[in-house]
Amino acid sequence: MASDPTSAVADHREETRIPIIRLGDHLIVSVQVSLQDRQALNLQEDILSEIRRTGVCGLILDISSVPIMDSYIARILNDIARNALLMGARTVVVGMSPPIAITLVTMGMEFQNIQAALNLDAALELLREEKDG
Amino acid sequence: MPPRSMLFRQNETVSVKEAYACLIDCFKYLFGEDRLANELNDCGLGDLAASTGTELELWQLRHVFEILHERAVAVCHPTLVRRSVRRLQYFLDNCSVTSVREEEYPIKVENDIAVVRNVTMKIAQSLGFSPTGKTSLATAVSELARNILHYANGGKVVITPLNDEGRKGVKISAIDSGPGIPDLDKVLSGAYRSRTGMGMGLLGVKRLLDDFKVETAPNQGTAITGIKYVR
Repeated sequence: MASDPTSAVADHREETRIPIIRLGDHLIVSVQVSLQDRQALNLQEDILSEIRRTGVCGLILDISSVPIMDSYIARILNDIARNALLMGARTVVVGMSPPIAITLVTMGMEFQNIQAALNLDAALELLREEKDG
Repeated sequence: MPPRSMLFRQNETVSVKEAYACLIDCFKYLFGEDRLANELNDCGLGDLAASTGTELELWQLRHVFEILHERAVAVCHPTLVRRSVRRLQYFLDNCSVTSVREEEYPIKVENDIAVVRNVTMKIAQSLGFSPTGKTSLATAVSELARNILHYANGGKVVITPLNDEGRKGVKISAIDSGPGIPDLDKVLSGAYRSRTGMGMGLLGVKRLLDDFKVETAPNQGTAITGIKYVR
């Protein structure tokens, strides 16, 4: 069977797992590639496994390297947040650029399970407040 | 067969390729197909006979028109010339002819979405869109491309940079031969919400663009065209 370059790219993407870093009571995930189907599912599984394993109560999604957020990506992030919540962790998004924020609002998209913070410090502060307050 | 220029609506944006095709149509109608090639040769425009016109500048298009018009007046019946040329003239005056090439991008696999998104960003950047304008445009393209993949199992996206007489922008067309969009009015009115509630899809795209048009019919495919201007 001739090797199809397109599927080779897809395979490579499937294998590339997005790193999840633990910082105290929180997980930090930096999304740096445009998420594709299989990758997005992998990410969701990985995050939920980590939450289960570590028992953290906060998830921080860093989207500062994501150039475009369409409704598909937004839905993925929302699903991740919803599932994380079921496992006891709140989600905060960090690094939303003004163009993306304006585009999302213009489109009429609203995140239902995610809060936003300006940077990592603010995100940690927010999660701490939620937990204590 | 009436010249093609009759089929375009006023203020529609057309590429140089289309405008040139209309021009050739008109003069083919006047001179007859066989004679047109000769006339072009006589006027020194021989190499244009075989071209599609994409490499023409706007001023060259008008120049060709003037030369051929002069020739037609000399050799054809005046009433015929007047009538045919009047339509073409009207077309050239009232449709926006854009002198920049358009590109077609197939949407068959997920990677194609990223490709067309990046191209859109580059074109928007070169036309001078603001960061928000660029992002909105690329997001709209991304949505449309994803819809093609998801609902129609493949199609294409055509990106046309617009740069006519002061007004710059980008025209995007998403075309597929899929099942068509059911309940279009409902989808665009905002009353429809997909299961997850995040499927703003088409309505979201409409809000991001300045012009927006959908043509769809059950099992006959869908063609969505939109324009975003640089502010």
